[in-house]
Amino acid sequence: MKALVAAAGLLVSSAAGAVDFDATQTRRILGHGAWPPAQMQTQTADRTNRYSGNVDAIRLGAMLFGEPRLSGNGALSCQTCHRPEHGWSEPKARSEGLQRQDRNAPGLLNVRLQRWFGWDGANDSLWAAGIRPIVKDTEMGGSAAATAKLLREDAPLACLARRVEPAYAAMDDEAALVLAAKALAAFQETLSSPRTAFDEFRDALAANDRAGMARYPEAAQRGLALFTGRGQCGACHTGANFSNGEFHDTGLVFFLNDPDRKPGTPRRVDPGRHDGIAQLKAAANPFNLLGRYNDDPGGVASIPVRHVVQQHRNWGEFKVPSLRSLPATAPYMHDGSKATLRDVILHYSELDEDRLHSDGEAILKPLKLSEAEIADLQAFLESLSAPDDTAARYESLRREAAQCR
Amino acid sequence: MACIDLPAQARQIQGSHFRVVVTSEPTPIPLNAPFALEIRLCDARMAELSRLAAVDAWMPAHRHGMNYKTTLTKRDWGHYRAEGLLLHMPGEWEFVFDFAGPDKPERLTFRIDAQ
Ligand code: HEC
Ligand code: HEC
Ligand SMILES: [Cu+2]
Repeated sequence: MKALVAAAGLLVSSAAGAVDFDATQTRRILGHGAWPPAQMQTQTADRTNRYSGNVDAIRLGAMLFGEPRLSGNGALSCQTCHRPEHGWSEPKARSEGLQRQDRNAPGLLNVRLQRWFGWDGANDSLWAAGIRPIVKDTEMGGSAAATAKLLREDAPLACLARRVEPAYAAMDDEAALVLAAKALAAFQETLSSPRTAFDEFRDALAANDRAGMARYPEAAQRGLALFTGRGQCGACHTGANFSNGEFHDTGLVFFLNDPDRKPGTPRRVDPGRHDGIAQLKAAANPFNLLGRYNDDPGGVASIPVRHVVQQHRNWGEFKVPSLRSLPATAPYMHDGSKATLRDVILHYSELDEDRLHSDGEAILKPLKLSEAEIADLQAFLESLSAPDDTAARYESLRREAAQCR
Repeated sequence: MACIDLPAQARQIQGSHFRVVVTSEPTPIPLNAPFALEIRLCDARMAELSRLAAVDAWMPAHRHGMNYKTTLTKRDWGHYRAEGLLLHMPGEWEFVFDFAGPDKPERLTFRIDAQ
């Protein structure tokens, strides 16, 4: 029996020689690990959020995540657009709150690894990113006052809030809203994606374990070679989470696909990062890490907001998304304009160079991929996902939380 | 005096009249995470010690700079700290140090391969 297995291993590993990675590619592949990253393994707390890692805050956050009473019409919750069974995203191209949004709802797995939140990075903390949807009149249309009232009056929510912050009932409405947002963040921090076939391959490569490497399908290996080679994808999709957390223009169509546009009105353009920086730094924004709700004032997490500057090229730039767990989160891109992974790959294959800023990224060139290469790249992207249990964990957290009296 | 006992990883650049010694915090310079630079002017005359005016970095091959603007603080005569740098893409970055002052302006640079 043992001999048989060993012989089979040998056969496969010689087949794995079909894809050769040069020294640069090998270094790049290793750079896409290890998974999970140390920050997740040790559950490093977000120091800007005093409730980060707090078990009761996580329960409270799970309750609030599915709580429609946070919305103005009592019908919308975070879960309406961030659906657990869709990688905490949704199948609609553009989200619909009280009105249609301009953007696609991003998935929330591994969201704690981000530096900026939203496609335009208008927020610099996970907790602040939960405030906008609650209070924005076109999104959930709720308010600080209604959130504070709900936390005081609903029995399980009040019970959890008291455990998290015994004196919370005396807080003003804005502080209570921040408490809710920080609990939501504590919950979202627990959403992480598991190890994948790619991670097994990457670790086998690190250990020079040929048999382990051979278990990774050849199409995925060829796709990985493209990703780390001619495709230059890792210039922006860097590190273990396949994102540098920053903003680029990938040459998508400028104008919003806008079914709501009234005839005769100008077509709209999404300014992306340019506007995101303006919102982040607006004097009236009390919720960034320069404001009073940051629980680690002057700490390292606030270095980016202190130094980020708005530049002309930020116009039309959007955040580089992670490439983990993509199959569940279709459609893709900030405007949901690409229905499938194949469509995204075709976009990179056929890029409109004239459309890209003349002063912009000199790295994106139409790749002119063959059908076989497109399939390989797709096989690679699919190898970055594996079934996760976050939806089931969410349900059990909510059941536990509802018991609080 | 700021120029003795420099760490082994210090980067040195020779200017027209003085040497510039740069160390990073953390070392080595990370990709995709904020870092600071400590900059010391060595073998300089007194008048030259307060000449550093700006520190920046850019990617020559990609023709773009950082998404962040550094803040420069003077720690001592001829000793500066630049904060808020972040290299957001792997590849070659050039650091640019601009000196102003009584003589003509001077620009010193060095390049690294950030990975
Ligand atoms: C109407 C649909 C909708 C609802 C309801 C909604 N979101 Fe979102 N969410 C979005 C969209 C669309 C974006 C992208 C926003 C942008 O780029 O400006 C987003 C972005 C985010 C992000 C940033 C993720 C990233 O990777 O940058 C977080 C975090 C988030 N939402 C959490 C929440 C929480 C918490 C709630 C409930 C309080 C919520 N959302 C309610 C649609 C929604
Ligand atoms: C110049 C930086 C850059 C490079 C190079 C790059 N990407 Fe992207 N990628 C982005 C940005 C920015 C977005 C989001 C664009 C938007 O929504 O406007 C994105 C989006 C995506 C998405 C959609 C993910 C989602 O959740 O919507 C996929 C898939 C993707 N890229 C794969 C690739 C592949 C494969 C390559 C190499 C062929 C590549 N990228 C090269 C910056 C880059
Ligand atoms: Cu670049």
